Amino acid sequence: MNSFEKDLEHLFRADEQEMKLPNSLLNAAKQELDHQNKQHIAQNSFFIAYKKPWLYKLAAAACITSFIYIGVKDAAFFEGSKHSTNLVADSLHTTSAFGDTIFTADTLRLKGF
Amino acid sequence: MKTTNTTDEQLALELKQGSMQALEQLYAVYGKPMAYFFKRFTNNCNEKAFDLTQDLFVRLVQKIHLYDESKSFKSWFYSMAYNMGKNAIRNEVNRAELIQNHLGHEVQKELVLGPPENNNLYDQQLLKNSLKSALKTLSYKHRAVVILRVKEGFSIADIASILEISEGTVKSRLHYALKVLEDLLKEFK
Repeated sequence: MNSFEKDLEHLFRADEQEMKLPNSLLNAAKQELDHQNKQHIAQNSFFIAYKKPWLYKLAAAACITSFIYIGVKDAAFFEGSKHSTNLVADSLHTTSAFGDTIFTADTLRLKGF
Repeated sequence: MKTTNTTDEQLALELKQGSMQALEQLYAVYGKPMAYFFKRFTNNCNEKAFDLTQDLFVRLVQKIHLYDESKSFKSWFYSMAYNMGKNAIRNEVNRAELIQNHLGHEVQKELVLGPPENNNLYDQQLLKNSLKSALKTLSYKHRAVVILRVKEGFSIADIASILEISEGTVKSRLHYALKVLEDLLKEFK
């Protein structure tokens, strides 16, 4: 930095010092984070309920594809799609995992679920 | 407050996990610099800069899952701020054009982007300040480069990454902007 740039930097900093931030500026972001945290807790509770292999077997037997779909989607949100699809595949005693794709209910239906 | 051992990247990771404290610490570090960045970059009043800062932190919470901790948080965050500021400038120009087209008023683009021609349209307070006036003569692209380099101390490579332009363009804009500012600020000394 040359002397002019240093002067300019001081000028910027002095100018910034004059700014007074209102106290409420972070409130909206805090509310958003609080909302997200509550949503995650709710979804996590939902996922725990869905993380039961026997429930998937039951759903597959009853051809309730939406249940499998929600389970896959929800698990993917928390633990990554690979884990979730393997979880479902294991639950259903299928030899091939679904891979990293999150399937739609229609795709699952095509696969015989 | 942020401790010396806690990096911005760690705070970002904690924010990803929903930490309110991490959000507050990031705000303590970046709140004022970002508000100032918006004020000078968009050539706006404090209130508009505060609005943008508020929106920026909401967006930070919404988009933090996209942040890669192996990269600089500061660069990533300024990139987000730059894009928000750029959109704000464009919206303001569009609004000015709309008013001009429909009402026939002489609302000038230069309010945001260029040199002043009608001082009555400008905040008188801005004209009292040599830096503010000098910055106004630059385009927003030049202003961004100067603020990021001189005020925030980013490297040329970082600025190129934040603005998504080549390093050569950054150097060229910086050279031009500093020359203009130096010439103009001489008059205020």
